[in-house]
Amino acid sequence: MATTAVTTDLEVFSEAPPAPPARPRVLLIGTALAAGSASMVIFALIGLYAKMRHDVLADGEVWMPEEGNVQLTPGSMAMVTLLLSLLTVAWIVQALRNDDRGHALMAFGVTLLLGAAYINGAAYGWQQLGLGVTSSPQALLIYTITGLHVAMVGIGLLFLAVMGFRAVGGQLTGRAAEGVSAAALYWFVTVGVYATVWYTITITK
Amino acid sequence: MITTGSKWFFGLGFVSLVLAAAYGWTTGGNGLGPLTAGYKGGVGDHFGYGILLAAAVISIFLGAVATAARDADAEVVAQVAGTDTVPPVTPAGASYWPPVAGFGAALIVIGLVSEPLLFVFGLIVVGIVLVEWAVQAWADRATGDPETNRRIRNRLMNPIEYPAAGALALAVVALAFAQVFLALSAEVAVWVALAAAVVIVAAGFLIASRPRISSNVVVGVLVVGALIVIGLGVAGGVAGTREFHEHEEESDHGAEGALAPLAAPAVVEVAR
Amino acid sequence: MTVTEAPRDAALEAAAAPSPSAPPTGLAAVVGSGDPRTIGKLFVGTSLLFLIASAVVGSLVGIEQYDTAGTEIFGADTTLRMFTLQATGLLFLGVLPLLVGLATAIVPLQVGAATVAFPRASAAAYWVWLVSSGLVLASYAIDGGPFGTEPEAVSLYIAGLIAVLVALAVATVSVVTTVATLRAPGMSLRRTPLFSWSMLVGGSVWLLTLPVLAGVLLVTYLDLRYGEQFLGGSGGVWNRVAWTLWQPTLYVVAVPALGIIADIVPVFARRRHQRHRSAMFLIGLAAALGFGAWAQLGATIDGSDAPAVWINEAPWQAVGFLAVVPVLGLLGLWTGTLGRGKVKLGTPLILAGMGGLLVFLGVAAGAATVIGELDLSGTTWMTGQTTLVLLGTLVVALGGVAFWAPKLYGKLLPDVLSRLGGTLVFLGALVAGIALAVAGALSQSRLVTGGATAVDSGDLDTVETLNLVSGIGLGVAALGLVVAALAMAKRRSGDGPGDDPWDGHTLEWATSSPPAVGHFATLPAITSEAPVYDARHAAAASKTEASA
Repeated sequence: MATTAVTTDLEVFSEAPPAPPARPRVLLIGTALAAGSASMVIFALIGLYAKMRHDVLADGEVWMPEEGNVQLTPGSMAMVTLLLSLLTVAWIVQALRNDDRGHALMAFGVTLLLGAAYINGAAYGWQQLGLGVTSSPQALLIYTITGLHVAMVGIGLLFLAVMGFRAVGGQLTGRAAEGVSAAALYWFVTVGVYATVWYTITITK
Repeated sequence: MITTGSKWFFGLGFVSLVLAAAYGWTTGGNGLGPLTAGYKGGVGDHFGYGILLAAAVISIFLGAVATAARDADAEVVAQVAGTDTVPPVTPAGASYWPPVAGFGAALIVIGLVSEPLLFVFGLIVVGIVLVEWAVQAWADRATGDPETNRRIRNRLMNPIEYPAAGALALAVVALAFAQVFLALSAEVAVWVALAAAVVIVAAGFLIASRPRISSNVVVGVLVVGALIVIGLGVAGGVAGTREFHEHEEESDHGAEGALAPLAAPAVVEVAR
Repeated sequence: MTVTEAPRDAALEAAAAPSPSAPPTGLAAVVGSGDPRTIGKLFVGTSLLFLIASAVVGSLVGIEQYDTAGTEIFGADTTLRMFTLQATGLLFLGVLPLLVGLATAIVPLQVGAATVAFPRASAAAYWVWLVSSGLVLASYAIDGGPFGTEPEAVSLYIAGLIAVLVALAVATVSVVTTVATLRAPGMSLRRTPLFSWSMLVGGSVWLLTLPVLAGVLLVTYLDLRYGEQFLGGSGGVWNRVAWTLWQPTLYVVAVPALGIIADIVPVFARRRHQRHRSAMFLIGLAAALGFGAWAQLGATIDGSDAPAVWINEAPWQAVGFLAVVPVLGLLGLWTGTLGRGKVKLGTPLILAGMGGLLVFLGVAAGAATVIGELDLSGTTWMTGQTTLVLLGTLVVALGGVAFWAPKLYGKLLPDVLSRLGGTLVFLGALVAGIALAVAGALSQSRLVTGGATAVDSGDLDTVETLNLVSGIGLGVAALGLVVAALAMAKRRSGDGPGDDPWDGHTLEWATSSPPAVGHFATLPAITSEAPVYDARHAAAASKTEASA
C-alpha cells in the first residue's frame, strides 16, 4: 500500500528561507518624528495653561479654584516612577542587544508594572483634585493635559508590549533590536514631556 | 559629526529659540526671562513663547537623533545591519485594514458627538486594526517567504478571526431580525417569524439533500439571504418600533445630557 | 514553529529582489492597496474634488459681499459659516492633502525606495482623512461648523477636523521618514532631489504645527461641549483655526511648491540646477520661517477676545520681511538656471512659473502687511495674501502632477487641458487675490460680516465691486480646477510616454512609467543630485568618444 507524504505546517515553516534583516533606522526615526509631533500637542496646551494662569495672577487673583487641590505627593511619585522606568527601558534594550531574552522579559515586566503604577497615580491625582472636569477652565485644562499624557503613556506601554511580543518570538534581538530601541525612544520622550507637565501643574500649580 | 539632516533640525531649533527670545521680550518679558525660560524674569506671552520653546526643544531632539543615526545614509544603515549592502524594503501587500481603520475613526468621531456606544465600537474597531497590524508586521518578518509568512499569520489569527467574524455575523442577523419584529405588530411578527423559520429550514433541507451542490451556489444563497435580512432590518429600524403599552409613563431620559442650542456667536473678530 | 534571526548576508541575497505577496487586483487594488502610488493618486484625486467645492463656495461668498449692507445668496450667519467652509476646505481638505498625496507617490521614486516608510500607515491616513473630511463637510449640512447653532454639529466639525489633522500628520511622518531613511546608496541628504528635500523640511515643520492646532481644538471641543465656553463658544472655534491661514504658517504650506518648481526648472532648462546646496538652504530657511503656530490668538479665562499680542511686534515683522529672502533667492537661482540653459517650454514649467509668481506676490504682500504704518494687518489685504499663496501653491502642485503624470498615471496629461486648467486657476487667483488686497488697502476689515464699516463712504462702491471681482475670480479658479480634473481623468491617448519623456534629472526617471511594484530593477550610480542627468551625459560622452 502506497503511503502519501504529508507536509505539516511546521515542516513548511522550518524549510522557509530566513527573513531578510529589517532596514535599520526606519522605525527609529519615524518614532522620533511621531513622538516629537505628539509632544507638541501637550506642549501647546501647557503654553495655554501657563498663559491663562499668568493672566489671572497678573490681575491679582487666585489661579486655582478654592476647592481645587493639586497634591504634590501623587504627582511627584508619578515623576519618580517614570524616572525609574527609564532605567528599566534602557535595561530592555541592553539585554536584547546582548541576546539575553530572560533579562529582557524581566525588564519588560517591570516597565509595564511601572507604567501601570504611573497611570494609577495619575488616576489618584484626579480623584484628589476635587474639581469636576468641566467645573472651570482651570480644571478642563488640567484634565486635558494630564489625560493626554496618560494616553501617551498608554500608547508607549502598548508599543513596548508589541515589541516585547516580537522579542519573545526572536525577531528583535542583537542587531535587530531596533524596534525595541524605537519603543524606548518614545518612552524617553514621554517621560520628558511628563517632566514639563509635572513642573507646570504639580510644582508651580 | 554634524550631518545635513542634523544641520536642518538644529537650524530650525536655533531659529525657534531666537524667535522665542524675541517674542518673549516684545510681548512683555523682562530681564533674562526669555533666555532662561522664565527662571530669571518674565517671558511675556506664555502661549506663543511656550510653543516656540517647545518647537526648539523638539527640533534639537530630532537633530540629535539625526546625528546619532548619521542621517541614515544607506552605507551607514548597511553597517548598522551588519550587511554588505543596504537591506531592501519590501512593498506592502493588499490589506483591507486601512479602510477599516477609516471606518473606526468615523465611528469614534460620530460617537463622540452623538452616541457613546458608537464611540466604544469605534475604539474596538481601531483596537482590532492595531492588533491585526501588529501581528501582520510580526508575521511579515517571520521567514523570507511571503507565502509561508501568510500561513503563519493565518495559523495564529484565523482561530480568532473566524469565530469572531461568525459571532459578528450572527449578531448582525439577530439585530436585523429584532428590528423587523419590533417594527411589526405582535400578530404579524409571529407569522413572519414562522415564515422565516420555514424558509431557513427549507433552504437547509435543499442544500443538505444535494451534496454535490456547488459551493458558489451555497455562498450566493447565504449572501443574498444576509443582504435581504440586513436590508429588512435597516428598513425596520427606519420605520421605528411599534408602540408598547406596558410602560405608559414616558420618562424624560432622552433629554438627559442633550445640549441646549447654542446662542448666537458672541465673538465678532472673524479673522479670515 | 521556529522563527530565528536570519544569517544576515544570506538572507539579504534571498531578498535582493523584493517579493511581496501577489499584487492586488480589482477592488483590492484600490481599496486595499498599500502601494504609495495608488494612495498618492487617491489623495490627489479626492483633494481636487474638495478644492473645486471650496472654490465654488468661496466664489459665492465673494459675490454675496457685493452688497455689504444686505445679503443676497446666504443669510448673514450662513455667510460666516460658508466662509469658514471654503477656508477649511481649501487648506485641510485641498492643498495640504494634495501635496501629501503627490509626495507619497513621488518621494519614494525620487530617493530610490521600493515604497514609503510606512505604507499601511499612509493607506490608513488616506482613509481616515477621507472619512473625516466627509464628516467635516457633513457638519456644515446640519448647521454646524464654526458659527453653527446646532451644538452636536459644531462638535462634529471640531472632532472631524482633529481626525483630519491626525491623518495628515501620519501621512507626513511616513513621507518625511522615507526621505530621512530610505534613500538609495550614494544619495546623501545633500544629493536629495529638491522636492523630497522640501518635503523633509516642510513636513517636519508641519509635524510641529498641526499638533498645536489639534491640541487647541481638543480643548475647544471639551470647552464647547461640556465646559463654560471660555474659548468663545461656537464663534470662538474659528479663532482657534484662522491662524493657519495667516503668515507665517501660511508659508510653510507653500514650501513643497518651492521644491516642485526647483525640480521642474532644471529639467526644462536642460541643465543642472544652479547651486543645488544654496537652493536646499533657501528652501530650509523658508520652512523654518514658516513655523507660525506662535502667531495665533490666545484665550482668556473669562471668554473675552484675547488680543493678538504679536501683531506689529518685532518677530512678526522680521518673519514677514525675511520670508521674502528665500523666495527671492530661489527666483534668482531659477532665473539663472533658465537663462543659461536651452529652455523647452513644457506645461509643467508654465504652471510652475505661474504658481511661483503667485506665491512670490503673496510673500511680497506679506512683507507689506508687517509695515505697521500701512495698517493692513486687520484688513482683507491678508485674505488676498492667503488667496495668492494657497492658490499659487495649488497651481504649482498642478504643474507637479503634469510633470510626474507618467509616473502617476503611466500617461502624459493632455497639454491643452492642463495648460487651460492651470491658467484659469492662476488668473482666478490673481484677480481674486489682488481684488481682496486692494479692498483691504481701502480699509475693508477682515471681518466677514460688517467688514466694510471702516471703509470711507466714497470707497464703498469700489470695495463692493472688488468683492464681486474676487468672487468671480474664485469662480474662474473653480472652473480651472474642473478643467484640470478633466485633464487628469482624460490623460493622453496612444502609447505610453516612455520612461523619461522630459529627459529628467532625478531617480524617478530611471524607472518605468508607470513604475512596477518595487519601483527599481537596478539603480544608476548616484554621485550627484542629478544621477539620471549624469548617466545620460556620460553615455553621450562615451558615444562621442567612440565615434571619434
